[in-house]
Amino acid sequence: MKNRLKNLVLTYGLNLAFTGSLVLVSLFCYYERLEGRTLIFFFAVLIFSLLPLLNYLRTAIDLIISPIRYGDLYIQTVESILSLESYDEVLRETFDQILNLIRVKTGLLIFHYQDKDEFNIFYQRDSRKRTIRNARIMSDNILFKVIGGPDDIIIKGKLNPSIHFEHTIIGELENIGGEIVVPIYYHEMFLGLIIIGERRRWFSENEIRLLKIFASKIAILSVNTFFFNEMVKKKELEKEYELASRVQKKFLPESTFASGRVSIAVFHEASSLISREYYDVFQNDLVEDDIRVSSYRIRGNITGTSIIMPGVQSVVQSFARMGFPPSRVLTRLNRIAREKGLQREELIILHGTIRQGGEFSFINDGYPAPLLFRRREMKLQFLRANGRNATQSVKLHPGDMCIIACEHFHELLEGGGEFFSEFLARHMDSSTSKIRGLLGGELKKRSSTTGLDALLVIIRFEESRP
Amino acid sequence: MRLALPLFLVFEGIDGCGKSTLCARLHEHYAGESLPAVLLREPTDGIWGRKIRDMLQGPELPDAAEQVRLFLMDREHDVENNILPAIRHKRMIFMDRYFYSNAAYQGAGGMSPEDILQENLGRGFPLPHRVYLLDLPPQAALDRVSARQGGSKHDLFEKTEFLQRVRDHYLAMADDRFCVIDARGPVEDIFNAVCADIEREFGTK
Repeated sequence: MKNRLKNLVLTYGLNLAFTGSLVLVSLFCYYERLEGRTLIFFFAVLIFSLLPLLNYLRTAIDLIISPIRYGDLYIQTVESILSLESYDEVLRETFDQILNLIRVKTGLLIFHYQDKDEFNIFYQRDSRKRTIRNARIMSDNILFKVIGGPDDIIIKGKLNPSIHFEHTIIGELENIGGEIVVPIYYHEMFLGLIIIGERRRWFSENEIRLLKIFASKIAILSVNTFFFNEMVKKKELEKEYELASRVQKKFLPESTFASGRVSIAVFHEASSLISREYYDVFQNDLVEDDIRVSSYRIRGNITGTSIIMPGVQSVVQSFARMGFPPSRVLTRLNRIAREKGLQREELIILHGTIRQGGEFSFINDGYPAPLLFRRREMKLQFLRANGRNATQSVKLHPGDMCIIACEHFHELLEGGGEFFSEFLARHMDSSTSKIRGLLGGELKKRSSTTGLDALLVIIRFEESRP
Repeated sequence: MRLALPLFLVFEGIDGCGKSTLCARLHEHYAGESLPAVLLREPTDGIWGRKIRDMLQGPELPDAAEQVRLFLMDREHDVENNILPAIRHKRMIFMDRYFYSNAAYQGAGGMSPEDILQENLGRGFPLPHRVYLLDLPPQAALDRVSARQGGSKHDLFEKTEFLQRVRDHYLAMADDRFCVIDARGPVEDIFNAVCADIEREFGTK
């Protein structure tokens, strides 16, 4: 408001000053009794000498006015971007403000959407505003042909109608009611055209410069808005991930489990919000002497993973509670996965059962086979992985540990067999959860891979208690 | 615990892994529980089986195809006279080696294990309900055999490298019908593991 008042004072003040000076000269002539030819000559000299001064003052005022108003407009535009949701609204708003600034009632903003490869036209004539979406614009349009960069501004008044090429451009501008065409470029990328309609007053160099600046601002704002919207989408996705992550965590059981002589401790670290590596440990209440353990990894995208994980868990638990042995649980799971169109390679799983007598039977479908640490031999042994869903059975003796590890941990354990045999021998008198922490930490320290989830399940058959 | 009968259980593994001892122990255990248990083995004690034993103990082995042919003849006889009748009478069969042995051993001798399996299935030999593969590293198996034979030299089959190939073939063909058991432990552990698996897989309440 303050700026607007200042602008009005400056613009109309100059005219008033000019008129006032003429009145003063008239009064001077009246008192000096100048008349006839002398008076006419005097006024002619005066007006011709004052006009350059007037023009100079106008330019000076334009220079004072424009940056202030431009600054206001820029702030308004940025604010509007933050409050607006759509990309189109930003363009519409900015274009309206440009037309208001240069006091033109007719104009077009042709904007090319790079991602969709389509044109939208924001059109204004007097107070009528229209948006034409996905406008059909011929690529051989003369305006596109003559514009090759951000400096190629077309001013109708400067074109020569006697030159055929320029005559064609004039014809096209008359068709669309345009006076000035300013291209919008973001670096080398053509984004569109600002076409300004006719105005009674001619367009000053400063106004044209201002239009050019605005064209580049539109380009920057448009690109920024695009990234802003992308950022908003990303934020929304992050919220969804957080929710999915919370849900997943609820599905995962406690990381320590103990029943009779069997104790289990799990080291689980997700590299991102959503884990792809999962485990499950539960006492099968409906079958006598049956503790079930599952480790699985779901490949594929995050959304898919978060949906599949609870499904896999519930299928495994349900069939296990029906008394199915691990082989049949996985057969059923695979059948369901096939029916649901889940690719075999998207899910790798190990499912096993432990009894209080130390018998551990498992089946690993793509998941690394467990490693066995025999207390008696103080040695880490590698149980062989079987490719086609065979059940593998091993008898654990007091103090023995079975270690189920994710792929990259398994590789480390395999590569450092001797070191880890000694490591486990050194810590075998510690509690299972302590061994879990120590071994998990050591493996993490040695792991050079980043961005992968870590999973380690340690099953220990404890010494008999008195 | 009651079991769903008939049950055709096959025991496989490289020489020295403890199949025969385990089969005998299981047969004794389940027969003692008044279950109709039958103990069978291949090569059989029939005419073809005896020929195979002579062949295996002879100075030179015929080619792998000929070996397979002899085993097929022996198996045909065994299926017709022993296995199918036992299945019809809802018995519990403990079978010491079956056609998986052919696929693993003759496969290690150069034939395609897949072709051997197909040949056997094509002849309509019944599929077992469960195959227990007693998995043992060849060196450990050879040590056992050596101890059993009082340090005598190993026969043709019992060479580490060859047994490793046999073991690899066994593990490669292990599908969901198989239960692979770590045979490095004492017989009692293996026995308990098999009993637990039989209960889990075939037990009825």
